[in-house]
Amino acid sequence: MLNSIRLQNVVRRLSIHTVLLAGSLIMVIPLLWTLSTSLKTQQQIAIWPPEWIPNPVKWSNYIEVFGAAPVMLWIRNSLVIVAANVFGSVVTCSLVAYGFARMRFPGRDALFILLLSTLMMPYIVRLIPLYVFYSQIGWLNTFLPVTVPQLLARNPFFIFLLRQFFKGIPFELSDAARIDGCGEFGIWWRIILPLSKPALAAVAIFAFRDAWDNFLAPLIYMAGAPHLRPLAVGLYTLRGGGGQLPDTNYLMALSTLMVIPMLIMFAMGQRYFIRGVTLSGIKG
Amino acid sequence: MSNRRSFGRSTLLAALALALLLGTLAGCVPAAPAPAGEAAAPAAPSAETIKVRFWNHWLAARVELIDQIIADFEQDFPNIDVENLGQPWDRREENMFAALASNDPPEVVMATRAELLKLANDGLIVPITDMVEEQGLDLDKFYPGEIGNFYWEGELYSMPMPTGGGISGMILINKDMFEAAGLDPVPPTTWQELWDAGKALTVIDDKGIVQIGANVGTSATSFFAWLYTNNGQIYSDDLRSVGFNSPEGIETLQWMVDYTNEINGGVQNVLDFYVTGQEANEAQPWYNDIEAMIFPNVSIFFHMQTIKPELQWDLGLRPYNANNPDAESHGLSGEEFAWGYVIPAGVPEEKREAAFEWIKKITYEEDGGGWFMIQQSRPSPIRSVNEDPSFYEANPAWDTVLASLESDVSVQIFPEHVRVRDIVEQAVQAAMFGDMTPEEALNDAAEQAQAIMDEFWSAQE
Amino acid sequence: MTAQSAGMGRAAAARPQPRVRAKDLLGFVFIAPWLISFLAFDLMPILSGFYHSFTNWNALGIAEFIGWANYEEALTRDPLFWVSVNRTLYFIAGSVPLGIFAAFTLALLLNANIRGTGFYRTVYYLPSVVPTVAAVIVWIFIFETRRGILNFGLELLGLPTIRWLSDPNWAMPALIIMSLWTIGAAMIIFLAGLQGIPQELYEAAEVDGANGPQRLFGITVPLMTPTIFFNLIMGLVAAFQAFNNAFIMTAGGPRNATLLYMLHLYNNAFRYFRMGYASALAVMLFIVVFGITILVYRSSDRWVYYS
Repeated sequence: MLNSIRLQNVVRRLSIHTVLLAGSLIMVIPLLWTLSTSLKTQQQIAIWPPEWIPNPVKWSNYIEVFGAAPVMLWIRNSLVIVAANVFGSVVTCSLVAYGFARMRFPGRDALFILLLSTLMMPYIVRLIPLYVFYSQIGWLNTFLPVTVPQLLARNPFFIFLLRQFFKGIPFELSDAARIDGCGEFGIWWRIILPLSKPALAAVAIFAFRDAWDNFLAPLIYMAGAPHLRPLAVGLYTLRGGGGQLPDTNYLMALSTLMVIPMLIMFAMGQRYFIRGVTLSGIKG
Repeated sequence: MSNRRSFGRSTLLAALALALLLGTLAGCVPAAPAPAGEAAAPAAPSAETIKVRFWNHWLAARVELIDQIIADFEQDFPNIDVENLGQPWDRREENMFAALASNDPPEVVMATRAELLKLANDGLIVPITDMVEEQGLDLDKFYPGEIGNFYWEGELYSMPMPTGGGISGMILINKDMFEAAGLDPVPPTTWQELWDAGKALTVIDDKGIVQIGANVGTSATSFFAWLYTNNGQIYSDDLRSVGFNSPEGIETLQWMVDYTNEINGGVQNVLDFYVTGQEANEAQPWYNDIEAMIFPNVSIFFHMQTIKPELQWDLGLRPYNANNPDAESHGLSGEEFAWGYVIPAGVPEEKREAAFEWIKKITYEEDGGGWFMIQQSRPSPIRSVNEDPSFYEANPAWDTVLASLESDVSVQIFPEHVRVRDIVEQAVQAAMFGDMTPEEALNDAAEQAQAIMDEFWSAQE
Repeated sequence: MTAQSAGMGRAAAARPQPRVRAKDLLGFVFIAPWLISFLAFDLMPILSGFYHSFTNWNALGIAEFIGWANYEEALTRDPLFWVSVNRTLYFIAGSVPLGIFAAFTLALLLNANIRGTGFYRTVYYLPSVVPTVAAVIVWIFIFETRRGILNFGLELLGLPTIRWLSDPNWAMPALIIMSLWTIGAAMIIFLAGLQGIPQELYEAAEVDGANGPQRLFGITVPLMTPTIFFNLIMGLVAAFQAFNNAFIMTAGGPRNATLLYMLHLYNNAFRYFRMGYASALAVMLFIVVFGITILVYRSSDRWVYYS
């Protein structure tokens, strides 16, 4: 009896692993290819079909790229944008989400629909008017257009996401706290946030990624200030285009490097995806 | 409870602290010329220095070259400060649009010829005709196919750099591949010769093309290039009606479709063969001895030197249709790329002179724009620059390149040309995929294009 | 019924009624940041979009009022308008259901008690993090007819190879497959949602004799409906505005097979200088997406369960 259950378990786990591994391969191949290309010389890249393991392996590309372009400067700029985005998303967006999820005020649902609807108007037709606005208030070629809106919770995606999670927390908990004399802000800080670690971790990961990879906004709003360029934009200057040869190996080296902070961020945020942390331990 | 309170704070603070620390560390790098976050306020130009922001797409190795030209320029004009704003190629149009929409646009903006015409027609850029006249500049130093690209309704809006021509007038062959196929390693001069050579050089298996003789092209741009080697025209001379659906046009497209189907095995074979797209990417078949003939632009010479210097190549003019007694080999200038440097209308009067001086340096001056071309082993739009011996040393077929430039025709196009090109693109694709005959496709396209032309001209009044 | 859920019922009945005025103000204070950013950065551009749809604005200069002309042109005279609508609907029908299903399944798998979940989660999120410029080059290689990995796999299985990017019938499926590659983000959201389900519920159910599928459909799915709702709406909103891959990889081809609505919009705005017309296209998209979202939102009362 026990043996067959154990066998069932093993088979189950084995099949899950197989499926997951197969999928993993598909997920990972593009990154492996990027890594492989980053270790080649320009002549080696020309070989078609491409060799997976270049011979010889040119690790110096990773060092040379720092000399070929102001990469440290780009990194610094990216960090500024990222810090604002992550802070804004985790703190400000969760405040707003709390308002929409757990408080009542007239027009709440209508305003929420309004919030969602801002996602539905394609950015293309909003681009020029917004740009002109920034131009008139002198925000162009500064960090302001890519940091202030984030700090002001201009991110319906995160607000919506957090609202869903906040709504899922039983109202009896906040009601009980209210009876105990806790204010709304206190409920947000002491009850809702701690219970939402997975959601907040997810938001932090996404916010980091959005800021890290955001290309269009920094490109356009800081076009006149190359010293403010973040990595995502700087990366594209290695692309060449218009009859110019791209520095493909440097491009790939930089792309690989760019993935690393994301992985770190993900690893950090992932720790909060632990089961059962949420409601157990809070009774009555 | 206290555990949970501290989770939020400590993680947040840690993350912020880390970010700030890294940021400060990264900031201690000598490269940063100005503190971050400093607002670039619209420069109230002092009587002394005028700032000219040069919005361009010269990237990577070219940045240094531009900087050198700027240094040289600022010695001659100590009161003008040129800023090199190299922009990535991606999302170029949105980026440029936004810049032009600003209440303080860059003083000199690099734009394509088609965009230049549109901007000129809408009054959004400043003509330089008067400034050219005042300084008595001699525009004959440019090839006519080059300077002709920047006129609209009698006014001049820019001068050329790099060449708008040298894009479609040449054919390059791989001599080794020709010899291996038992052919004389000489570039074909007519459509008919090209057909025969292509037939001998193309190898197809059950999966598609293994080795390609030539790709005559499956796009509107290729069609236009071939059209002009068949004595055809895109538009009529007065620019009031379409011309590409003439008998010459239909014959051209039919020939392209026939070639693609019979020799290359169909348009899908061709699309599959060129996986890496249009970038000057090293993995292109030309560099791997599986493509025998190409129709390159002039930047190919420098690329070949960098990627595969041992390639044995020869150069000829684009083949023309021998069956048509009026046909000659013509390249096109200004149908697609042809870069110009324009002054947005939003630039204040007092800065326009300075902007013009910079445009002059980067296009008209032999030691500015001309020098820039020599450094890249690319021909210059200025005739005299192309006589530099270094070109002849690097490229034994240089005379052919120059002959091609002389033969390039500055295509007369109108501001809505991009729309027409896209419509023709639809037609070429339809014919290639067999959804319509070339005649049907071109006539259909002509109808749509004519409607746009009519609309345009009636709005002009 | 567990003690937990019984407790919830009683609390709901005993919930104190808030005083209206103080709470109102406080609510607005909480959403104030967003409200400010909306008024400053969103309101005017969106209104501008609506307004310019009735003009022939070229984005940089004059804007003449032309009434409904843009809408009329789109709906009756633009040969590519209905093509792009058709292609976009195809893309949505293919990518959204598949994406949600795949992300949900993955999240379930990675929530299970097997070793290496951390590794797998990272690997499955990885694609969202690889810069687009590198990803596109690699995907073109994967889809390659002769040497691409996809066709290699098909051959191994004895199936005929497909000309992914040059065959008008297969280009859109190729795009849909590419969109599946980045389900990592949706997967993370589902994962986070799964964390919110208390273990006690599962334990109690097991005690009651419920088996795997019963636990899945009786506990997991109902409690995940808020998250599913989120991913559904966000998935739809994003899919309607899908643009990047079609723009970079296929440029709308071959034969307009991948001419997504946003790409058509982009061409009109930035290549043809027809921002007025593009605005009309944008407004129509807005109306459709808004309508669908309202429908889903309204229907949510019936199937979304907030505890």
